[in-house]
Amino acid sequence: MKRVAALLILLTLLAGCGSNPRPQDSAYGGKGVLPQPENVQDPAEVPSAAPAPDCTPRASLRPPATMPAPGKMPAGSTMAKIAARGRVIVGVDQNAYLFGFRDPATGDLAGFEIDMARAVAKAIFGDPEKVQFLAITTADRIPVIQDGRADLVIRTMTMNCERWQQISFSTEYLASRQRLLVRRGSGIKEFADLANRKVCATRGSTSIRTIAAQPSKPVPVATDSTLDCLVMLQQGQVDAVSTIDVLLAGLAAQDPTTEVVGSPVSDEPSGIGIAKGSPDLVRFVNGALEQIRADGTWAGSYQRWLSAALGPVPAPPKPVYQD
Amino acid sequence: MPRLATPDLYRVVAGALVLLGLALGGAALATVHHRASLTRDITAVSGPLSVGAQDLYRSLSDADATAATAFLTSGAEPAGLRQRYLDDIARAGAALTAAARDADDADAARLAILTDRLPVYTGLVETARSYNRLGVPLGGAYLREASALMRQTLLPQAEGLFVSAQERLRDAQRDASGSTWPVLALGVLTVGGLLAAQVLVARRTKRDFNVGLVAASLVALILLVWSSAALGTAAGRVEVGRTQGSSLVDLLADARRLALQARADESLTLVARGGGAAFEKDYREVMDRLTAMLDRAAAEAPESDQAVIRAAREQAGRFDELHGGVRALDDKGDYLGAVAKATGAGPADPPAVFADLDSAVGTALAAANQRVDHQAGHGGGALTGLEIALLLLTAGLVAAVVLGFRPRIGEYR
Repeated sequence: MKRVAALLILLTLLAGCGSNPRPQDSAYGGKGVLPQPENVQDPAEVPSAAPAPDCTPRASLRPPATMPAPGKMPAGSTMAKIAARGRVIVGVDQNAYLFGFRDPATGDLAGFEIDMARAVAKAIFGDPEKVQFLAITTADRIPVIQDGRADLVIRTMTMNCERWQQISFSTEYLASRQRLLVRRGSGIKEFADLANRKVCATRGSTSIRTIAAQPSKPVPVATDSTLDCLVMLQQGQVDAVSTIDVLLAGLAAQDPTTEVVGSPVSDEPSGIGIAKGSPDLVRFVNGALEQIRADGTWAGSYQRWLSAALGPVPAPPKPVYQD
Repeated sequence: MPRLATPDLYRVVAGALVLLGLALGGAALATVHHRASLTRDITAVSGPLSVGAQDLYRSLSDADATAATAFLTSGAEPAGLRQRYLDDIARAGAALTAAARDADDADAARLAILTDRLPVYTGLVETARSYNRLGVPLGGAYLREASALMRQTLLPQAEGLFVSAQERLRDAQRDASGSTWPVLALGVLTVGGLLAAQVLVARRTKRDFNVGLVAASLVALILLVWSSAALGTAAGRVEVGRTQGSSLVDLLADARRLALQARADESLTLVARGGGAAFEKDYREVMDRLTAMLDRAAAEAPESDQAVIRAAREQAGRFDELHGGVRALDDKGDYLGAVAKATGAGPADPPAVFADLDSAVGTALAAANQRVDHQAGHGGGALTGLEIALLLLTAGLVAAVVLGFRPRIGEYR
C-alpha cells in the first residue's frame, strides 16, 4: 500500500516536471489553470522603510485627571466638535473577520474593533450607537486621519515611529505579533521551512517587509487584502500567509483546515489612530480605554470575539505614557 | 496582313462572337452564383454566428453582474436573481456549443479556453455563495476572484469571437457588394462586337439588317442589363445591411457589454466593502464610454431605430444619477443604505432602470441584426431565377450568332 502511494506521488511529481508548457496545452483544455485574485504581485515589491527617529512606539498621552461626563464635553475641545456633529466618524475594516466585518445575515458591522469604536462613542455621547463607520483600505488609514475624513481609525494599525511622524496613537488596545497561517498537515512550522516558497501578505504592508527580511528567503506575494491571501492558500497558490497573529486567527476561523503556527517574528502593538493636532482627543480616548480595561468591557469583548480563536482572555495591554 | 476571303472572315468573326457570348454568359453566371452563395452565407452562417457571439458575450457579462448583485443581498439571495444567473450560464453553454459548429482554428482556440474556464468560474461563484451563507467575509474574496476571471479571461475571449464573427460577416458583405466590372466589360465588348459585325456584314452583303445578329444583340443587351441590375440591387441591399446593420451591431453590442460592466462595477464596489476604489474608477471610465457610444449609435442609426437608442441613452443617464446616490450613501458610511438603494425593487431604483436600459439596447441590437439578415435576404431574392435565365440567354445568344452567319457563309459555297 505504502509503495503504491509512493509510486503515485513519484508519478505525480514526474508528471509535474515533464509537463511542457506548450501554449496549446491550456488553449485546448489539456490542463486546468488556477484563477488568481485581481492585482496579485508575485513576487511582491518590498516597500522600503522610511528612516524614522527612535521613539517608544507604545508611549501615548496621559488621560485627563478627571474624564468629562458623557454628553458634557469641555467647550472648544475636539470632543465638543464631535458631540456637536452628533456622531463620531471611525475608519474601520469591513472585511476583517472577528475585528470588523459585515455579518451577512444582518448586514451590520460587528467585531472586536467595532466594540472599541462603540466604547469611545459611549464615552462621548453616553450612547454606543452614535458612530458613523467608514470602511477604508489599509493604504487609506493615515490619509483619512490627516484630511479629517475620520476622527479615529481603528483598523489593526501598528504603532511605529514612522507613523508617529504623521499621526498620533492612543495607548495599545491589542497586542499582536507577526506569525504564519498554513494548511494543516503541510509540515510547515516556522519561517525556516519556507525557503524559496511563497508567503502572502497585503501590498505595501510592513508584513511584506518582514517576510522579505527572513533569513530563509521566502518569496513574498502581495494581494489587495488578507482575504485574497486566504483564497490563494486554499487554492494552493501560496504556502503560507503571514501577518499579525490576531488577523491570522480571523482567517483561521473561516477555514478550519488552516492553523496559525510559528514563533513571533515581530512585535506589533495596535493603537487607535488620531490626528496629530488633537492631543485632547488622544487623552480622552486613552481615558475611555482605561475605563473599559478596568470595568471588564475589554475582557468581555475579547471573550466574545477572539477567545475561540486566540485562547483564554489575557490581561489587557498595559498603557504606556510619554508624559 | 493578307486579306481574308469573306467566308473565312465571317467564320473568324462568328467564332469570336460565340466565344465572347460564352465568356459573357459564363462570367455573369459565375458572378451571380458566387454572389448568391455569399448572401446565403450572410443569412445562414456569418450573420447567425455574429448573433451567437453576441449572445455568448451578453450572457457572460450578465452572469458577472447578476452574481455580484445577488451576493450583496443579506442572507439567501433573491430567487429571481439566482434564476437569472443560472439562465445566463445555461445560455452561455448553449452559445458555446453552437459556436463550435462553424469555428475556424482561431475561434476553436478561443472556444477551448471558454469551455475550459467557464466551469472554473461557476465553481468560484458557488464557493463565494457558500462562504457568504456561513456568514464569513471570505465569500467576497471568492466573488472578486470569479469576477476577475470573467473579466480578464472569459470576456476577452468572447469578445474575440464576436470580433472575428463580425469580420467574417463584413468580408462576406464586402465580397457580395463589390463591383462586377468583368461582367460589364465583357457585356460592352460583346454588344460592341455584335454591332461591328453587323456593320461588316451589312457592307459586304448590301443588306441593312442581319436578323440573327440583331436578335443576338438584343439578347446580349438583355443579359447585360438584367444581370447588372440584379447584381447591383443585391450589392446595394447587402451594403445597406452593412452600413445600417453591422456597423450599428458593433456599436450596440459594445454598448450592451459596457452597460453590464458598469452595473457589475457598482455591485463589486459594494461587495469589496471599502476596498472597491478600483471598481469605482472602472465604472467611471465604462460609463463615459457607454454614453459616448450610445450618442454615436443614435447619430448613425436609421430614423426608425433612433427613438429606442435615445431612450437607452436617457436610461443610462438616469442609472448614472442613481449610482451617484448609491456612492454618496456608501462614501458617508451608510453601507446598508447604499446596498438597499442599489438592490431596491421599486420602478425608479437602479435595478429597474438598468433593466430598461438593457432592454432598450437589446431592442435596438435585435433591429440591427435583423436588418443585416433581411437586407441580405432581399439581396439574395434579387438574384433568384437569374442563373437559369442566364443559361438560356447565353444559349440564345450563341444560337442567334450562328444562325445569323450560317446563311451568309453558305452563299459563298
